[in-house]
Amino acid sequence: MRMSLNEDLTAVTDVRVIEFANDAITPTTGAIVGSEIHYVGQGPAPETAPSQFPAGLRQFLGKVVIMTAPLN
Amino acid sequence: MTLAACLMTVEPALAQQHPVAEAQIHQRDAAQSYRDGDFEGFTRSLETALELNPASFATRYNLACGYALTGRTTESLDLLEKLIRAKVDFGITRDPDLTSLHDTDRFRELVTLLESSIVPVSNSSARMTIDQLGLIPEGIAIDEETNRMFFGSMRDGNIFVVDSQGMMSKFAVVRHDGKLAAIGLTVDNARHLLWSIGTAFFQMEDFDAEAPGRAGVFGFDLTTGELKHEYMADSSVQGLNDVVVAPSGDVFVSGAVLHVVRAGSDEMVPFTTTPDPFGSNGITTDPAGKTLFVSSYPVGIAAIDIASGAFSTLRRTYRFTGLMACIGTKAILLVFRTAFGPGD
Repeated sequence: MRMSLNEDLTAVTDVRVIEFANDAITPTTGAIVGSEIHYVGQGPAPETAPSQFPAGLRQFLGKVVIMTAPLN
Repeated sequence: MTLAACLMTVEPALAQQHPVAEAQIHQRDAAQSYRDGDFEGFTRSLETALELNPASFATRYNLACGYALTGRTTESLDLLEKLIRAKVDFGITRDPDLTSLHDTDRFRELVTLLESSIVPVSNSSARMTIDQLGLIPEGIAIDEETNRMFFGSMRDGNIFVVDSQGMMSKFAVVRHDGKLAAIGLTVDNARHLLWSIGTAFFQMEDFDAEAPGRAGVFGFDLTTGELKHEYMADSSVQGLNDVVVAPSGDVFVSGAVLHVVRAGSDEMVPFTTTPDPFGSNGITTDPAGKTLFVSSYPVGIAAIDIASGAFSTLRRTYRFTGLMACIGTKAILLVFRTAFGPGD
């Protein structure tokens, strides 16, 4: 979500949802370059955790996915 | 269960000062009970935590899981319904802790309600997919001068670099008495450094939940990846999260306790604010470097006056805000809701 702030930085004046409910990625954080945001996250989790991982980590084991979106 | 709890807890001394801090102590107890398979204890601790901090969506959700795990189906469904009606979803259809609910009509009705309330928004395009499973990325940083991109692995502490041609290679590894999870990253072109948070975290190889905290911020040469700076927090600090370099050169670090490495200093110290934000995750500054923004799980987005340490919560922000990425040249915040979801 992109949140615009008022001049004294005390309140949000506008919210724009850039991406939501995209099954291709569970995003974690991003970096802004110019007018774009590049963000990273995990793709869909595998059905079962590969044997070298604890089963409890299955939900975190998706491929690394990097996405780009315009800010405006 | 959503697994945000154990990283963002505060020191026990604070528990006597504020119910949110006390609630975090009980959440930490709950996380330990969960790991031990003691679901009755898990549930009891979360009931106490929710009484102390009733606005916490994460605690409410985890308690729903606790009820489901202990056969209290109706109570679990009641909590889930409140969350869904507030348009908060932690992934109820995928959470194995809720399996006992799946055959109930009411759970199916909640899933239908949830699906009808979600309207996807898509403006993004895929830039890169890395086939290797289990890297568990968290942070990303971009060096605009060389068009290189960095991301870290929470699993093994490796930091990878993707060059301008799209070629990926290992850049550095975050370690202190063993590997640490590489979390927040930021490029510091003025000092020709890549800063990375390293912290002991449950997703790491060889994680020891009983060990003292290991968390710090590490500065690597931006060209070679050679370690140039290492600042460790006190072992009572259970985790650090993200890092930002202010225009002044001060390096601010979020986590269980806010920290700062002042420009020209060679030590990291706690950054005291009034009141305490009770843990923080995303962190950034305004372009002037006067205000530090942190996303605090319990209180929302806090705007902190860097000179005085005084903070207020931004009006009209959502209490369940997750990670905050960064701020550009205008007064804009980019906010992420994470896999951990809202709450604490």
